[in-house]
Amino acid sequence: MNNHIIKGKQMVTPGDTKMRNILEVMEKLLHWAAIIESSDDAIISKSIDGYITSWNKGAQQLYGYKPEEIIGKHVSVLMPPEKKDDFPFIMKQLHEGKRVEHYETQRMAKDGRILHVSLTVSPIRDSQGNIIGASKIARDITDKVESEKRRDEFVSTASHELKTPITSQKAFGELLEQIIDKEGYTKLKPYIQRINQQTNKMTKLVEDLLELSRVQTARLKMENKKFIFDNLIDEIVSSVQLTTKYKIIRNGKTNKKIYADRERLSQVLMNLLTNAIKYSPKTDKILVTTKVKGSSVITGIQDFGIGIAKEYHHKIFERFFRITDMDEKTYPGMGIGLFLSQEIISRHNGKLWVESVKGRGATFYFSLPLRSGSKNK
Amino acid sequence: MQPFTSRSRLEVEVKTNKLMKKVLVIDDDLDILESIQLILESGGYDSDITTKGDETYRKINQYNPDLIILDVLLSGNDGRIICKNLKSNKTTKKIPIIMISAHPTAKDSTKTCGADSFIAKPFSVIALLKEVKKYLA
Repeated sequence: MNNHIIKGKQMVTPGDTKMRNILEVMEKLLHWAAIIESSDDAIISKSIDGYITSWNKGAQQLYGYKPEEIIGKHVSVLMPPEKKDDFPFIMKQLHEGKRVEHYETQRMAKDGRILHVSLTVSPIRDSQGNIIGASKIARDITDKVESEKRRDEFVSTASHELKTPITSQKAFGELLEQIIDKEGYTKLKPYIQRINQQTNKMTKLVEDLLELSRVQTARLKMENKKFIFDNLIDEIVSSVQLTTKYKIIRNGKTNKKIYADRERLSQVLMNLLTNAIKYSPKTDKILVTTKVKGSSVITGIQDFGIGIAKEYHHKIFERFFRITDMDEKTYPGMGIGLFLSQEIISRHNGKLWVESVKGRGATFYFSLPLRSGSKNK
Repeated sequence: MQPFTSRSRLEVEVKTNKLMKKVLVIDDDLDILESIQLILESGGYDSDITTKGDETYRKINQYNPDLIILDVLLSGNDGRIICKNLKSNKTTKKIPIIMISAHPTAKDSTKTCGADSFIAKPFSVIALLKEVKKYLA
């Protein structure tokens, strides 16, 4: 077919520009068609009501249907029973003129195999701009999903294995401390205390790793209850106060009840307080403020330490991100705490952000809604 | 590694008497078993231990415990199945069972097998004794 067109092109007289334009367009179309046909991704088009109108080789390879078997059928034949809701969801997006990008879901091949795919669906419009159908690109991500699953299982097993020796280490350490107290070996006391503190730190690190893998697989569960938020803050502040020489000053009390996961929020408060202490070595106070603003309660944790340059104000909440500038890299950490904290706050429909000028301390704020619950009950 | 007992090495003074409540501890890790045994002794309880899930039933007959502390993954045995069996048996179902595990997802599954409570590993001495006391007050 290509040859014909080239031949045709040569036959056209120089003056016949209209014909030339048409041929150029056709050539382009064939070029695009060849790209689509040879793509490894499944590229299909469907009518506005969901009937398949085209089907490339990639689609045949992925799903196992030949074009003649599937063109004219409804796209829902590719959806496994538990993913049938994808159809109304995608259609709704299309009717609003929106694209669906990198939507990770499952599809079913002709032989019944479940495939993990990432979908990008875009509306197709006619010359008047009306939506007349959609193009759909499906990428096979089965390998990626499976390797993520394996990694998740590995982290889970590894944390179990690490916790086993920590369990007896912690128990023997605490028992030894009791004996040292009882027998009055006061000289030994600071040493065993250090050992026990480090054991607890190690436990915390292992638990953070585990939490991280849970966040990634969306298995971080929230157990929401109603409670007075200030009480939680007081509790955490006094428990952190026991471990530090910094003065933690509480400002403002709201006495508001919130519906939230107490454990998870303690984790966030702990993280923000220990960060505040960690990154302000030459000072000695931390301010913790709560206030009601609109229908939210806002908590601020302010330190007077090294601060954070503006360019990092968003990045610090990314997973594994650590500032590598001279000052910052001397502080220990895995780049997990703020990422986890932000996940937890966003599951409560709240926001976590920072206000800071480098060298002049930082205030981390988070908001929690007073009425509505969390997305993840 | 040579296992040791509290009596020989750490010399915790414990007066054994017949009125002491008895706790049977099942865990496949010997160090964890011995640490729990020491904690229980420090709290004034008598205890017996086994690393083998299969021995649980024989130990119960022989030792007649007031409380059982049971690990979830027992190298060859599933503590949850043992728990289920004990809770569906007339003579053993009244013995309270505290399940312990370092496994992140274990907590939920122990509820369905009838365990009376769950403690995550690693635990503090205080937390373990507090939980034990709940059932043996």
